[in-house]
Amino acid sequence: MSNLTKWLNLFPGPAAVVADDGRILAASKEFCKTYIGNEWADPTAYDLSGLPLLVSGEGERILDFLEKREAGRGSMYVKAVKDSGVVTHPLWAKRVKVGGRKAYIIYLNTTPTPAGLEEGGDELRTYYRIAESSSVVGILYLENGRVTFANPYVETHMGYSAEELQGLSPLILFPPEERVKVEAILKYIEKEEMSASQILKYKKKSGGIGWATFSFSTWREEDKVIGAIIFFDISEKMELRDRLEIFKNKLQATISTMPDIFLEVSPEGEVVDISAPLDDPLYALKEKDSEQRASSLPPDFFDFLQKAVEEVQTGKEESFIYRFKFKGIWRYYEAKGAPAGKNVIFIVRNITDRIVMKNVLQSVNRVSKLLLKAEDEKDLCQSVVKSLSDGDIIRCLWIGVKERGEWKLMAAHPSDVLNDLFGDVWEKGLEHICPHINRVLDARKTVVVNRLMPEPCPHFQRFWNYGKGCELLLPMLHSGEDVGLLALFMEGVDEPGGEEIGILQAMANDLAFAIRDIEDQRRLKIAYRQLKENLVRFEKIADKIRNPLMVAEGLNYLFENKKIYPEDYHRQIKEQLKRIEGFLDRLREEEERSYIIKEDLERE
Amino acid sequence: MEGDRQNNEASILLVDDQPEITEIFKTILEDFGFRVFLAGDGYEAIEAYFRHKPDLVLMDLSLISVDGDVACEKILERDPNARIILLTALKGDKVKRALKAGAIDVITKPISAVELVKRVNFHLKG
Repeated sequence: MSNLTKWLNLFPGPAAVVADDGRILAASKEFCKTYIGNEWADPTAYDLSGLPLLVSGEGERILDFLEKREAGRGSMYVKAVKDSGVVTHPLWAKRVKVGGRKAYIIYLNTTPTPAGLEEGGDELRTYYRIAESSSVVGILYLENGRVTFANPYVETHMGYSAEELQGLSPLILFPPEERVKVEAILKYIEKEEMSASQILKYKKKSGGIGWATFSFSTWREEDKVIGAIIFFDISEKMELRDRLEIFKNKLQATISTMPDIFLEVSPEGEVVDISAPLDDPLYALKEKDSEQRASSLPPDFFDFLQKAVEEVQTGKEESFIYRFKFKGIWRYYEAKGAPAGKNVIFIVRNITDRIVMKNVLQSVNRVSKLLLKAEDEKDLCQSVVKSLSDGDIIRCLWIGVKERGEWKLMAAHPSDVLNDLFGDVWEKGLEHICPHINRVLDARKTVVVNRLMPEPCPHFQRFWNYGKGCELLLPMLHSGEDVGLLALFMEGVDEPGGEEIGILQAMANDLAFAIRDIEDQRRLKIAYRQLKENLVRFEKIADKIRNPLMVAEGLNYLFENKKIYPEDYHRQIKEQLKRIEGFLDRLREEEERSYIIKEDLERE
Repeated sequence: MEGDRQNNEASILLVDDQPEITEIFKTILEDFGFRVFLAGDGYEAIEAYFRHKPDLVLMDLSLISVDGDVACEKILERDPNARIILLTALKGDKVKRALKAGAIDVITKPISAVELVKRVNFHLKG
């Protein structure tokens, strides 16, 4: 319903807006009922000359009146058919512009003319006169923006008597937050323009606040512009609305702390009653058609229910976990059952998010262990991808590493390998498969891409059709350096919580550390192996050098006990000294080798 | 020392890949009254041990082909009562392995002839 029609409905009698060619642009229900015969009829399908319940020729007469006379200054009488007879309704009209075109508001008074009112008077004025003593609607007249009249309804609802309001601005009847709107309306009245009706708060004399629907009119009387405010109190309705809002909020708060689903199941495994949210797969249990119900859930679900009912009833078990695939994604439910007569009532909680994150965090733990054992960057990245890919949550991922300023794809989920992700990256660069790469590195923190963001990674597109999911782009940072980027698509979760993202980001940074550390470790390991080999050589030389000394000890004993000729003793001692010199030369070589290794290590 | 020289009737297997050492110390040990058998590597040592059943083995660890620690293990596996003294300058894994197998002492080269005989006698009396 248009605002114009709503406004026309506020008129106490039939009212319409008519184009200058007689077409009806909008009309109140009362107008449709009185002149078309059906309050639900579409008035725009009619023009004045074709209204079924107007006496023939009256439509043309109205048009003639609108064209020839200055609308708003005078009135005419219109003949209409009512209860097989003819009735006469005074018509008042005012010229307006609708969508830039000339048009007229017409209002007809269908109430019997009270005694004392002269025929041919201003009919709107007539209407207001009737309402002046009304206790159904409130009326305020204004002249030059000041109140000149208030009917008893005003005092009943606002607490001010007509005398008290006399000469005051109507602004005092409104709280500060409504004053801008009211001032705008007063300007419309001053310019004799129309203003749509509005729901506004008003301020009572007692200080209390009420709500009312206000509509406004003007007419000229003895060259003065008379403004009229007509209002209808709707405080009770608004209070009810507020109470409902509070109740709704309380209910929502209560529901959010309650388990998701209540499920009552018969001993045969039939669902007797269920309360499930619309977006939950178990909502299918609300289907009355058992075939449709069965087709939405896995075949073993009802067997599971029957068995669970039996176990609860026999006291064997009261808590169950059930999982099934829905739209390609595993859903997990935790159900706790309690007997209710022959049936069992289960409190079921969808724990998919909890399980998903648990699985992901387990993968992260596995990755942490891999980091400690890693010996090669590529193997490490492949092991990390493999570890994170185990399970149904992370459907897709890849790791890119920056080497000397160039991006290199180190590892990818098996499905991406099959989809020739490596070929794509080789051909078009890593930026092609990840449009957000620079944004992620500038942000230096995890970026979550969901379906609301433009440009999700193109090769993740295929997963968006499965329902819940998000892309996580994790920069791999180490000592202020961008080592790489880990991108993954997580299914079943719209967006992980801050804590989970923190854990995943820490894992990405650990991976960056491990990659850099592997290189350092590799150098250290080579040096360590060289040093170890040197040490063994040293030890062997040291062992060898002791042999000539041992021989010398033996020769000394033989010489002292005269068991060897002196010349043989001297010759053999000299031989042993030569051997010792040879070993010393070899020791010097080893010393130099160790020195070079030490220098290398210090340089690194 | 004179007493040592007169009373020794024990037999010793001396294992070293340095012929000068085995020859010189054979002379010295025989001078002290010991019967001495020689071996130049691990294989020979194992074979000589089970052929002569000496009262004590003086075993170098760095040998050609089978090293002293392996020979120790093989001998002690079959004869846990074998008394083997390691004669070496090494300090690493080979020494640990031989001691674990059951070697009773380690003598660090070089050692004087008199000192060596004292250590040998100590173990023979024990």
